[in-house]
Amino acid sequence: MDTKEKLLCVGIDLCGDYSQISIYSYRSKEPVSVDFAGTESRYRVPTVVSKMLGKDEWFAGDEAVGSAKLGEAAAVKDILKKAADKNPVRVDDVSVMPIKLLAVFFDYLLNTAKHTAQTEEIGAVCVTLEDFNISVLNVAVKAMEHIGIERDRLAFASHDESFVYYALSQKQELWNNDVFLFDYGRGGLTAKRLYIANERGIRIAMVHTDGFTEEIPYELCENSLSAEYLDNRLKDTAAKLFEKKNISTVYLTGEAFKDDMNLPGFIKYLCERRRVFAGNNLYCKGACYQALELACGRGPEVMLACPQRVTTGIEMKISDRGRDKILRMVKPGINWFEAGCEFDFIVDGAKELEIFLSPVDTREKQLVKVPLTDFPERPGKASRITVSFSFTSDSRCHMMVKDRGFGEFYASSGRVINEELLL
Amino acid sequence: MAGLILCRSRRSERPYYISNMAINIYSVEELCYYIYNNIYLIGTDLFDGGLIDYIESELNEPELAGQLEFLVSQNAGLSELVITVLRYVDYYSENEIDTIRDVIDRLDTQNVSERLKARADNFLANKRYNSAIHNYEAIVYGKRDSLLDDVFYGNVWHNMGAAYAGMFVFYEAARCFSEAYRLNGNDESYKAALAASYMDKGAEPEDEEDELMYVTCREIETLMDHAPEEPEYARLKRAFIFKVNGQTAEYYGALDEIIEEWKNNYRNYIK
Repeated sequence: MDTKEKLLCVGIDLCGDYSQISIYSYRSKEPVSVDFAGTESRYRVPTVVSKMLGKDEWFAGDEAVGSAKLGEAAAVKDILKKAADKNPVRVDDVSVMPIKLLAVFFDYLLNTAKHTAQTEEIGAVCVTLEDFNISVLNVAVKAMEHIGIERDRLAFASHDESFVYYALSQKQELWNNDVFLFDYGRGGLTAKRLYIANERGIRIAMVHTDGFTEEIPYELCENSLSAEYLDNRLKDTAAKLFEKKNISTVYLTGEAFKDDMNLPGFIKYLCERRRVFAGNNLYCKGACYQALELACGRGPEVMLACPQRVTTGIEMKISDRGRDKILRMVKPGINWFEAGCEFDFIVDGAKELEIFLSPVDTREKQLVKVPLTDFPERPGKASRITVSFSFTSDSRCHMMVKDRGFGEFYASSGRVINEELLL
Repeated sequence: MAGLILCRSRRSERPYYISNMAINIYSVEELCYYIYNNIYLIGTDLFDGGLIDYIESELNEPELAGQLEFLVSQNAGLSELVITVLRYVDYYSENEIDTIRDVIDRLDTQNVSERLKARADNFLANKRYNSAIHNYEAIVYGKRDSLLDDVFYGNVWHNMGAAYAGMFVFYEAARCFSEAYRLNGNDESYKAALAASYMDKGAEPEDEEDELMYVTCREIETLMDHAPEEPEYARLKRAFIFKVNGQTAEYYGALDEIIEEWKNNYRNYIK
């Protein structure tokens, strides 16, 4: 057996109020939710940490809430908002950086995962977030590093991506046609449609999202008097969305779709020639599949082109042993937060860089020329440059070209060329 | 042509010091560049355990290190070692590699004095005057090669004179050029001897009757007249303009910069 197969793969659904984790079971070949045996819910924990008063001792989850209730500790809620702000937080008269808060929380989650899996070694972790915010992501990376999870064992995903990973990790008969997800949480109803397009022989997974947060708010499900109205609204909405579409599967997630939900018309409509599943761990399990892909390379054989995924490849013309060649530097279908990369080149007479932006859905490539005229003139092959790409969203890329000189033969000028690429 | 070559191996944090040229290298590309541009200076001794270790551990190229280790253990020639490195790295084209192979093959057919001269000439071209002089001295003071004629030895003296002149040691330069002229009978060496003597004494040689001496002195004067047009002179002139304008700090700053550069250059000459 491949030793990689024993690596612990963890999916974390990191939300503002509650979080969940799942671990991949090699026996059942699917992710399983981790049981926290909590007071409120078994499979989720409050995204809260607390600090023991007067001591440098920290708690997380239910224990954090409990210790604060007992007056023994100072609780910190809204950790993700604090991470987005990046400012220090006063806890028990001590200034604490958001990295520490998230590190305490992650440490708790991963220790629980390790305890459940009866292992000490973590293969890979994928964190899925509803709000894919770069500030939170940067803090989360550092928090994970703080507890010993290096960048190469860590991935991040949006809820859309986790939905796609979950759906495409099921039997193919469940995603032969379109797949719908109704996410009805405290923010109201959102419907996501996953469909596979075929572009020049490449299968591309796309997600289209429709928001009904105002028309169908969460409050509707809390009022028993409006149950019939809600049932009709949901059924009508589904009927409209399903019009002229072949749908294999429908998933229901979110707090509104409880076990005791009273939505007979809506459920009956969904179940007509479709498979329907309900549960509140879809994103978390999707993230776990992504962690598995990171650790073992097993993932869907489909290119993802949903939001947060870069849908335009970035290529450059280079010489390879005397022949012109196109080097793909950014592969389409990759999450923008993971898409940053860096390459070194020797300049052998080039006066400019020829960058090609290559969208997945078209044959036409856009050529962007970046002149190197700001760099000092040197003899051929005596200049090394570093070309790096960093992303701030799925459509915004910052390109940086640095003059590295050529060792002690030619010192670097220290000059840098910056270019914004809109994808 | 795209004009950009992808670097497939990393640039190391810790450099490898090549004592021959007193230079640090940080990548396989720099190693190729060094080899290609200093082919007369290198021998099989370049590919010692230190370099092979560096290629393996710092540059993370165990395959290349393994190939070199094997070749060294088999007492391979310089050509094989050099070509192995150049072929491994996508840096020089096949044509360029063929050119250097020809150079190495030619070196292999030369005798010791010719190789030493080629090596010294390369030092001279790189303004490594002291190293050049050491190699030229090994030829002229060493055992005379009966296969080489006076012209060869005269040319060695001439080049040694050029190296001394580069270090401003004009007395020695004049002596070398005179010896060169005695052996090769070349007017260039004679003129160089006169010029070095002129620079050494700061005055024209006295024998006005000698036509060649007269022509040489006028050539030197012409060069002196045109000196203000040289970029180096313009730099000095700019510094002195600061002085005239009363910009003392700028004046001393510019002078310090120029002097520091001269010092660095001189340190390089005598390495």
